[in-house]
Amino acid sequence: MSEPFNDFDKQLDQLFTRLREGKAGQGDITELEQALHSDPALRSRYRARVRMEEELSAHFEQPEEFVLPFEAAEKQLWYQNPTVKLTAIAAAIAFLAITAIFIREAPVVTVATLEKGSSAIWEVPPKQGEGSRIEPGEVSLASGMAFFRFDSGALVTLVGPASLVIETPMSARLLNGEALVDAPESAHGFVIKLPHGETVDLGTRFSVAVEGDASTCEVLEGSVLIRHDVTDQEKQLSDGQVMTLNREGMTPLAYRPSREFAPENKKPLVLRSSREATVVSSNLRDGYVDDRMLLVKMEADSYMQRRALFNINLGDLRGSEIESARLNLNLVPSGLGFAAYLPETITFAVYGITNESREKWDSENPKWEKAPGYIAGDENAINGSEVTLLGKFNTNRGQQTGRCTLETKQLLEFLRSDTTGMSGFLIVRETYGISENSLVHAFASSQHPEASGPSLEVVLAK
Amino acid sequence: MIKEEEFISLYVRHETELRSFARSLTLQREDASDVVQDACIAMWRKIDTLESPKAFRSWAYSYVRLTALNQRRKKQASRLEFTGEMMEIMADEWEKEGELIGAEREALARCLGELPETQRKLLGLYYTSSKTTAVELSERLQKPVAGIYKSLERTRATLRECILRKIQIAKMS
Repeated sequence: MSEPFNDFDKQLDQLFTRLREGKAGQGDITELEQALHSDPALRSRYRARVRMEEELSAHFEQPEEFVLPFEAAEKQLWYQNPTVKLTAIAAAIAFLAITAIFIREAPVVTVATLEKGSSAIWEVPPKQGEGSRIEPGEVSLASGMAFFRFDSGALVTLVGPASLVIETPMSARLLNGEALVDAPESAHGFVIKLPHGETVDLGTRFSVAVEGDASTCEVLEGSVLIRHDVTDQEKQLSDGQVMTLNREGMTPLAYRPSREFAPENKKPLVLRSSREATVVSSNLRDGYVDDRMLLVKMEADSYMQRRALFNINLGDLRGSEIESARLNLNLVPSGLGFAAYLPETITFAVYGITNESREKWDSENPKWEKAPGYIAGDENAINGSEVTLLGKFNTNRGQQTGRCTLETKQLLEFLRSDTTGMSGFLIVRETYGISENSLVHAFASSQHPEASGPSLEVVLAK
Repeated sequence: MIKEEEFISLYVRHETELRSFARSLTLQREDASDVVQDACIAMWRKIDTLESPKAFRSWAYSYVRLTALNQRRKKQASRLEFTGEMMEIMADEWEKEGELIGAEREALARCLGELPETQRKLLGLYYTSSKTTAVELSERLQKPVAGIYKSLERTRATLRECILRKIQIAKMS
């Protein structure tokens, strides 16, 4: 395990605060120096703390706070040597030009529109909502579909779970998942980049799918040029033809394999939640929780905040190496509160319980303050020493049903580091409601009559 | 020989690291800013002694180190400071941590992305300006000042633990 945040770190943190506020004295510094003098490990922690402080300032500080050293250079050299002065001014100008690259807000360039009618649950949402113009950048869909109309006219339907990097009006990169491309004449030449190649539209409708190392392209109508970037192989595909492409090269297929059929050696084991609970900040339960749902809600000053907990038994996997893992949750209507009192995008965070002694919470009558992740005196914060963030996903304000999936490196690392045979999860809604009457979100528990409860799909390495 | 444009680019790339290095020696942010500024002017004057971009880091460190020690000698007795001996020890050890510094920076960026929105926002408000205090935030957010101090402390502790964890995982893999 990592070195814990100990008393020295705490005192150091407080000293930095006092220094910032002008409240530190030489006595503080002498005391610190005495501690540092005899202990190289403390000196190393001190330097790491200094770096974090400066990196945080550099990350968050407003541009006007930037110091331009050459302004000082100019002042000092002004009266000394006119040649040097000119050099310094030239440098100052050059410096300003370079820092301006970092400081100046780049003009907004948009290349596509996110069309309305999507039923998307986002892991990485576009900066703008539905109906808005989209800037180049990565989007990641946890589930559902999203329709991107590129300025060239190409319509790309992203089918979740999938990640796409929107690049230009004529190109995008599919990182994983599936996309359907419908390119009118204006978008001939539209390119979808793949892990080991690319497809170039020649007037067509086609689908592309990326799973791990392999990509598959199927032409539904028209023709597509497919290129392999290592071997420089090129092949024109027409109606109904399918090609698969990986690191080694390209191979034609007689038909497109089902996205849902897993090869025998990659069939996932499905593990389901064994204990589930909703905790409420008021600890009131009757009328506020329901066994069939795992409820989540975040409010600034509400006593009705809710967080969901569940455990999944990993006992059967002991001794096996986990190759990949996916957590599935099903969003269901809770019937509590109003979606109108929510902002446009709602973010949920899934945490793994890292303090394994905290996996044994009381499922019969769980208390808010006994739940993992709780911090006394700060109802909205998460105790990072008990839980670790596994991932986040987003929904739209109006969305109250749908599958939410999480397939992150952090989830995999968390499961691999398990030592108890039991994994504990905490779900939190990060987005505050506009009023305390905002909607309570619900995920189906294993008791839900229609939707299935939390499940973990795990593929084991052979 | 390094061209002026190249020097500026190298300086911009290393500025936060140099600032952190200066801060580890001077403790106070304003002093560190003065040191980096003076060191930068000194470097600019001696640009012809920098042989290649690869040598920039240790070259710039030597200027910052020297400037910090000189500044200490000039400072008023009332200013807060380490002894010269501690500054030398700290500078020697810092220069051996090159790889760690890069790994920490990368991990911090990822850990910031993993923080809950409320904690990230509070950090953002606090670090927007070097002058912002917890008391100001308490008035602005209408929250008790003790709670702000606690939240900031906890968030930094979370970040620190996250950074250590990520570095450890990176080492293992």
